Amino acid sequence: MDLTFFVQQLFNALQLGSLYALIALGYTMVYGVLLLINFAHGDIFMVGAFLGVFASMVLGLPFVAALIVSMLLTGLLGVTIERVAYKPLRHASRLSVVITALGVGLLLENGMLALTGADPRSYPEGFINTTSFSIAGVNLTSVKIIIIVLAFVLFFGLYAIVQRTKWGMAMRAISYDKFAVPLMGVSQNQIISLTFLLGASLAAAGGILWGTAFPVLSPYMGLRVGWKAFIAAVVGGIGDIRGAMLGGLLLGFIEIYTVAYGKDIGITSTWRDPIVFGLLLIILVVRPTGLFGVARRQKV
Amino acid sequence: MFATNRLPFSLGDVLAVVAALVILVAFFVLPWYELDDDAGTVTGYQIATDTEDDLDLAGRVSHMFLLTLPIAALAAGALALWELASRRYDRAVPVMILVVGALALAYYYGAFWYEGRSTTPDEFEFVGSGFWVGLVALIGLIVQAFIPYPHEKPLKVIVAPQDTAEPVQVIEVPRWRRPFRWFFRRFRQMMARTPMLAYLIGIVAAVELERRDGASFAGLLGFRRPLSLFGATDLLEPFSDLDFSGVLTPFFPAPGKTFDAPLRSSWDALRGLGETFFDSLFTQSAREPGFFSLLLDVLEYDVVLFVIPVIVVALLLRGPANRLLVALPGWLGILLQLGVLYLGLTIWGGLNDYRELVLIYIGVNVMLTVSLNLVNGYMGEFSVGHAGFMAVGAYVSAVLTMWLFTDSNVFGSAALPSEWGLPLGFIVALVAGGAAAALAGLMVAFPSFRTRGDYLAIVTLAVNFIVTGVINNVSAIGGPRGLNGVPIWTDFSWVFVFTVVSVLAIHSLVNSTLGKGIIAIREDEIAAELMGINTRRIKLVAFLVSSFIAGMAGGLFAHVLAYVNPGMFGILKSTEVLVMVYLGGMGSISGSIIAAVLFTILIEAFRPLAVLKWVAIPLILILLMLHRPQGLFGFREININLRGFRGRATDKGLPITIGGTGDDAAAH
Repeated sequence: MDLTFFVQQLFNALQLGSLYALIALGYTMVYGVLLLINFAHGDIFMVGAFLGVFASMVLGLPFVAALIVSMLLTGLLGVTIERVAYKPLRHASRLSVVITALGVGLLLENGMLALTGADPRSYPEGFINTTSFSIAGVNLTSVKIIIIVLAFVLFFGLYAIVQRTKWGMAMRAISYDKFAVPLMGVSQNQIISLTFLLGASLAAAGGILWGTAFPVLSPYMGLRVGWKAFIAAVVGGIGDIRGAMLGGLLLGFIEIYTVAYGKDIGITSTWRDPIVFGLLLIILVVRPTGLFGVARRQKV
Repeated sequence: MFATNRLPFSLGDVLAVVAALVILVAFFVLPWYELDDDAGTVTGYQIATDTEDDLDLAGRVSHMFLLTLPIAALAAGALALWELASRRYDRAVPVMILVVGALALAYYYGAFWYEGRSTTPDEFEFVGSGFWVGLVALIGLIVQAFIPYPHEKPLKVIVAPQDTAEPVQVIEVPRWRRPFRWFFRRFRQMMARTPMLAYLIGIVAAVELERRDGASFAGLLGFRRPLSLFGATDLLEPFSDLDFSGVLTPFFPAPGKTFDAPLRSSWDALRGLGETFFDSLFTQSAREPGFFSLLLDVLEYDVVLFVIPVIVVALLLRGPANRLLVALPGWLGILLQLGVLYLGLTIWGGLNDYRELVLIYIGVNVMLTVSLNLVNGYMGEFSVGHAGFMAVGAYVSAVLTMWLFTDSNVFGSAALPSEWGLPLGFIVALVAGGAAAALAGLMVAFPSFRTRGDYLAIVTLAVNFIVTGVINNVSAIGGPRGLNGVPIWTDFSWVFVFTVVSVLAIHSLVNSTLGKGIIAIREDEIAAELMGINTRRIKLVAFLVSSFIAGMAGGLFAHVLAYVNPGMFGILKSTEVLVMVYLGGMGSISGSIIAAVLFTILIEAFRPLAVLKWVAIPLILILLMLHRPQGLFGFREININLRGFRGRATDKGLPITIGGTGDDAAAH
């Protein structure tokens, strides 16, 4: 095997995988707290990317400022969605919340299409540093490095919040026992809002980074990526943020290396999806609760 | 329904007899229409028997209401006399007949009114008989309502006490409100105690009326052709000009299209939008009526041609229909009702191809929804990849029919004589498609032994992606370009038969012992297993049946448009099916059927809105979930009477539930 080729693909895989991971984190956090598969998350990711366009093109902000603005606005959107659509259903059956989430997702993507038209969007020239260089024969771009580094920084930031702060402790406590925590004087609503804020802003970061790596933004961009990230979260064991990170990276690796080495054995890149999903199926059959998931034993 | 022992004829009965006689006499003797050119007047009998078109009524009147009206009068009169003579009537019967008389009046003058509207008001002359018939009927109706029946107890409302210590409260209804209260209560009771067969016959009568008169009536209302889907498609047409894309575009500019003042241009776009919206609500132009006037016209069309005939015919026929159903053995009665339903739907769908297409989609959607409800509603799993099974069925059956029975440029010439294709070959292909889909269902069934809940949802999702992904990659069946040249064999009859068979199959499965097991898994899998239920076997059966039916639905779907491609069976289609299941409510077959019908029509109705269609539909879904999280009919069935009301227990009735769950179903 050609080592430079392998390393080259390694960076591609890291880039794709960390993007998946950023989105998967949102899925897994919401699931951990509310036991809700937030199917609108992929579309929140899309809105984040579009708000990046707003921040950079209309407000004329540089990359970091645009990232922060978009993350904040998208986070607020996430909180609003939870307050308006999910909160009234907190005591209803879980499936009706899931259906609502599907509806919110459809509403976001089609509402975006209806309100902004079908022109593809992209970030302005010079929005992010795009120099390319090569180290030992491996071609890299600064975008790739920025994406990977930023994704890991955000992940560790989130991990620190969840593990080290009181808010994070409350979050973990709610996912452990949602009935006992309000009795301890912790506001459940605030914690849930915080979860949505964090998850949605991470999705926004993922959206902007995705838009710099693959510069065609459309209202439907969240559909495919959202499902993939969701799968990453499940593979890692939904509800566990380390699992989401690992699942995202794993998914990125599988996809990139399938395409990179599949060519030699006659597997074209269009086989990527069936293979990835087939692997998912196998993982779920072997370990039904994902890599990090712990089976909840049901007491009889 | 009580026999009157003491007073065989009250004043109300006498009035009813008089009205019935007047109607009958009016039909045969009185002039119902005045021909313009001094040719005199014609009686209802002459109009009804004018098969050779000697009177050239069609040319003169331009619509057929005059035919409908005398026949309605004849039927009402005859029925009234029959009911009165046989003494098998209650107070409601004469009232119903009088209502028909009043309706005759409305129709009659309605016809003249429309006539006047289409030409000039001075040209028509009133003909007296209809007016007098109607007047007698109306007076009779009012008098009927006020005359107390000797054997009837005074109308009281009993308020059930909240607390047992409280005595039962009896509220006297004010005297002036009694007739109305009596009438509406009676009406509701009668509607509830009318067997399904009577409604079905009413539907046949209504669609037949529309087939005859729809075009001319639509013309009078200002439509070019009869309304396709009860006006659902026309109603939102005024809003087709709305274009929201300017509102947010300034804030999200495409590269090279930046706006100098985004707020200002967004505001301008909003204002323009408001003006367009206002125009679409009220009048746009003479050619394009605004929403409100359109709404009025559509309502008129539907009420006159569908609602009134269905109700009137159903209520008039409820006695005879009931007796017929009681006399027939159960299965024959159900067969008869299916036949009548089929007749009504074919007449309705025969009017144009679009209607038939919608009916086909409805049938396919019913199959999909009911089969998914078996897994999601009855078994309590969360399957989100139903379109995957549909895709398998669609492709397998399409490939079979193309390869075996048709000459195509994909598979070359037909392998078997093409005469074998219909009906035998098609059945084989559909069943093969279903079987293949069931095999794909194994991909879900086996993981379901170990995995539950959200993780199983992922498995179904993955299966959907895998199926479409694999199809995308097999170039022999067209890959992403799709499969072209599938024979167009699906028509309404095929869909009807398969839909009915599927619904019945699911219904009997759910009500069988196995079905109890399925429900037990939903309630508590571990407890079910402890009770000795073989959960693996039951899960296997449920997934196989569900995917088999979805595969057959896919096979039917593939043979509608002569074209399939993998994009049709993506996650969006799965979402659609999910939406239908949850709209109707989990664990409810009748809810699923109604939801599939409503949703299909809704999709068609929103077609003029283009992009906004998929904004409006999720919005409706979210609002529904917020206000009625269990769906329209969650875990219960609509009581429809399929066997007639037997014996004197008519007040309670013996409701049959289609696909009833649990104890409801066991009760009968």
